[in-house]
Amino acid sequence: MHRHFFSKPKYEPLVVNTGSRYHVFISDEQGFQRTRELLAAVANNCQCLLVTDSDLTGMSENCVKLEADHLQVYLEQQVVRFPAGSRFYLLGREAFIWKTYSALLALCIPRDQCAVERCGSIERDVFCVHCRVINSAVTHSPVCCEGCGRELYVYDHFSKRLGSYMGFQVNAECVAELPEKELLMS
Amino acid sequence: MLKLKPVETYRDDFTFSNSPEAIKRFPFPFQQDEYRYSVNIEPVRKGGAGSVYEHWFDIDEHYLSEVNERKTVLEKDPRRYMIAPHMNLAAWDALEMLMEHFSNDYPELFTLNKQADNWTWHNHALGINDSFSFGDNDSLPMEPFAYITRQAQGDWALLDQRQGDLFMDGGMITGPADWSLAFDLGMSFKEWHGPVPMAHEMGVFDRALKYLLNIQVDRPARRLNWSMSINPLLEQSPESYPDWGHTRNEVSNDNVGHLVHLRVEVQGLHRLPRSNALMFPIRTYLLSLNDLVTQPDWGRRLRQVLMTLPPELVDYKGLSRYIDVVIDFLEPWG
Amino acid sequence: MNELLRVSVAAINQLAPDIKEFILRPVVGSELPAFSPGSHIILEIHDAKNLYRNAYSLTSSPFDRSHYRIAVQLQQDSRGGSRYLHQAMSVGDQLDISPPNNYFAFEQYNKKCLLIAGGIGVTPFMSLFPDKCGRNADIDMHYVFRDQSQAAFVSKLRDQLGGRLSCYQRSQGQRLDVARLLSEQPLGTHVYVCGPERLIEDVRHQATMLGWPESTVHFEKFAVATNGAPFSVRLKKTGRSIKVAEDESLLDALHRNGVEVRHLCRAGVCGECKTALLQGPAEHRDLYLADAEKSEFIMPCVSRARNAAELVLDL
Repeated sequence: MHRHFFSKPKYEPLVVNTGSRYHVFISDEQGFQRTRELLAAVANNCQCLLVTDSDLTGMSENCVKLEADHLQVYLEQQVVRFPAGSRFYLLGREAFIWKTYSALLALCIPRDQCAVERCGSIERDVFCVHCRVINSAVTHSPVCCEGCGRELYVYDHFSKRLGSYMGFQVNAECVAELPEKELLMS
Repeated sequence: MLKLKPVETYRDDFTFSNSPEAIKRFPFPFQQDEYRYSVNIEPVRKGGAGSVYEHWFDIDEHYLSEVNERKTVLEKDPRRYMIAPHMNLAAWDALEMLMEHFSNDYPELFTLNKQADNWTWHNHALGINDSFSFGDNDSLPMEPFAYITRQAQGDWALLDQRQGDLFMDGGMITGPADWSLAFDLGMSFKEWHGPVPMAHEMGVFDRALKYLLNIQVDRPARRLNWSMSINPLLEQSPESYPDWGHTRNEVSNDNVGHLVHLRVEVQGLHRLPRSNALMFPIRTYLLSLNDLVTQPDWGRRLRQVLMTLPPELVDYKGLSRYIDVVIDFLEPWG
Repeated sequence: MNELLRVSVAAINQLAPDIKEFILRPVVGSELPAFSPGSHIILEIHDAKNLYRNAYSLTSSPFDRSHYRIAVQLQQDSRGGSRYLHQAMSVGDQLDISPPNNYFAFEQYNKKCLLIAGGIGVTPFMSLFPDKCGRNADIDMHYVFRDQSQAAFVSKLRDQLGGRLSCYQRSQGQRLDVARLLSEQPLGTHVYVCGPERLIEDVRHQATMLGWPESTVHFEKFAVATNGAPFSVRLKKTGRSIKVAEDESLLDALHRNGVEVRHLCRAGVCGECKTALLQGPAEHRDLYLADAEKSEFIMPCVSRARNAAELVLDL
C-alpha cells in the first residue's frame, strides 16, 4: 500500500521571499546548515532561531538559541514585535517543522506566511492511537510503542498539529502475523 | 408513533438487534450493482413517512441504546469529545438546530420552550429537564455541544469554514468507522480524507469541497457512506482496534450471517447560521447479513457490489479477511 | 433557488435625512432564520412598473430572531428600489425577502479584527454587536463618513466599542490614513472593509504593499453596479435575440424573457449563474471567474458586454 496520502506533506526547496519586510528563520539542528545558506540571501531584516537542547558551536551571531521547551513562550512574547507581512521559514526534521508551524498558527499567524523545508534525516514521530504517546525518531515500521508496548504499523496519514504519523497495532487482527521491520523510505 | 427499545448493547454481549420495522427502513446504500466513489452529495429532500429520511435528524428504536453507548464510551475515554474554543458559537448553533428539530419532529419525546434567551428543554425519554440562557455556557450543566449530542444518535463533527476550506475543529465521535478524532482534529477537508484511495485522483474532494463551501442555511446536503462491522459494533475506532481487530479473522461459514453487519452512514451537511460553520452528523445504521437477505434484492445486489469492488476499496474498508466468506454466503440470492 | 420569506414592515425609523431603517417581522410564525454577521437579504420591491431586487445587510442581532433590521440609503441615481422604500413603503406593508446569504463572513479563528467602514458600508458590521458566545478576537473599528448624518450608527457603535471605535468625519477634514493604520497592526490581524470602491481598493492596495497575505483581507463591495450601456444577446441554442436594457442586469433580462438561469447571490460571487460565453467581448464585473475562464464564461448577474457589443451565449 504505497499510494501517496494527501495528508502526507510533499516538500520543495524553500525560496526566500525577498520582497517581505521581515524574515524569521526557525530551525532545529538538522535544518541549521540550510538555514545559514538562506540567511545569506537576506540582509538585516531577519531573525534566526535555532531550537536545540544541545550545545552548538559555530553559530552565527544573528541566531538566538532556544531550548525546545522554550520556543512556544518565546514566540508568544515575540509575536507582537513581528511586523505584519513577516515571513516564517521553518527548517529541520519533519516533526519539528510541523509542530512549530502549528505553534505559529495557534498565534494566528497566517498559514500563507509560513514556508517549510524538511532537512536531514527522514525519521518520523509516530502517534500511537491506542495510548496517545508520541514515539520519536522512528525509522522502521512496525515500531514498538514506548507507551503501551504494542507493535505499531506506521501509517502514512499525517497530522500537522501533532507533527506525527498515525500508528496502530499491526497485528490486531492476527497476533501471529507480525511483519518484518521495513525501513521507512520517506 | 416511535417505540423505543429498552437498552441493548453494542459491545461485550452485543444484545443489539433490529425489529422488522427497523430492517425495512434500513438505508440500503447501493443504487447499482457496482460501487465506485463519486461526489454523491445531494440536497436533502424530505423522505416518506417512517423512513430514515423523513426528518433531518432521525431518531429510531435504538435511541436509548445509543445514548447509553455514548455514555459508556465517554466514561472510558473522554477524549472522544473535543472542541476548539473558537467553535463555541457553532456549538450553540448546533444545540439550537437539534433542539428545534427534535422537539418539532418528535414531540412525544422532546419539548422546547423559548422566552427570548430563556429556554427550557425537556427530554422525556431520558428524564432531562433543564432551563438555561441561550448563549451562556455557564447556564448549562456542561458545554453546549456535549450537552445536546449526548442526547442524540450518531456522531457529530463541527467544521470551521475559513480561508476557502473546512477544518475539523470539534466533534463528538463515539461510534466511528475506523477514524480517530484525536488524530484528525484540526485537519483540513482534504487532509482528513488523506487515506481514502482513488477518490483524490478523481477530483472527488475538490468538487465536494466547492459544494460544501456553498451550502446555505436551511438547505442541507446529504450523502451515504458504507462499510462493514463484525458484530453490531458501533465503536469501531482505531483506539480500540486491539480489542475488536481479531474478530475480522473469526468469520466462518457458520457465523457469517449473524456476525457480519452492513454498516451505513447517512451523513448530513448543515450550515450553522450564526457561526457560518458546517455541522456534519454521521448517523450509523447496522444490519446483520441474516436480516439483510430478508429484503427483496438486497442480498443479490450486495453480492454484486462486493464481487466488483476494487481491491483498494476492499483493503481500505477492512474487508479483506472475510469478504470471500460473505460473497459465498450471499450466493443463494444471486 | 431559494424560497422567499414573507415579512411585514413593523417600523420605519429615520436615521438620517437620506437613511431609513426598516424593522421587518415574519408574517408566518414568530421567528426568522438566524444568520451570520455580514449577511444580507434581498428585498423584492414592486412598484407600479417594475420589480427591483435590492440587497441590504442585516444590522440586527443574530440572537434576536423576532425581526430583521436593515438600513436603506436613498440612492440618487436609484433605478427605483431605494426610492420606493423611502417614499412609498409604509408600516404594515408586506414584502418578500430572500433568506440571509453571506459573502462577507467573519472568520471565527481571528486574533485581531480590524474593521474599516465607509459610509453606508458600516451596515454589515452592525450585527457583530453585542458579541455573544465568547468570540475572542480583539476588535478595532475605523469608521469613515461624510457628516453628522451618520450619527445614529456612531452612537450604537460607541456603546459597544467605546475607545475601540475611531471616527473620521470628512466634512471636518478628518482623514483615515490607511497605510499608517495597516502598518501599525500586529501580525495575524485580519482586516474587513466595506464601503465605496475607492476605500476598498485603497485598503487592498496598501495591504498588498505591506505584504499582508490575501487571506487576511476581506471585503464586500457594497453595490456592484449592474447597469451600463444597453446591448443585445444571442442565444445559440434557440437562436433567440434578447435586448438588455441599461438599467437591468443580463440575468434579469434573461429571466424577463423566460430564460431560466440558475442563480443565487446576484453579486458575482457565488458562481451559480456561470454561463458559457461563445462570442463577444464581455465586461467582467464578478469576483468568481478565474482569469483563464474569462474568455469562455460570463457571470450574467453582474457582467455585461463591453462597448455595447453583441454577446452570444450557450443558452
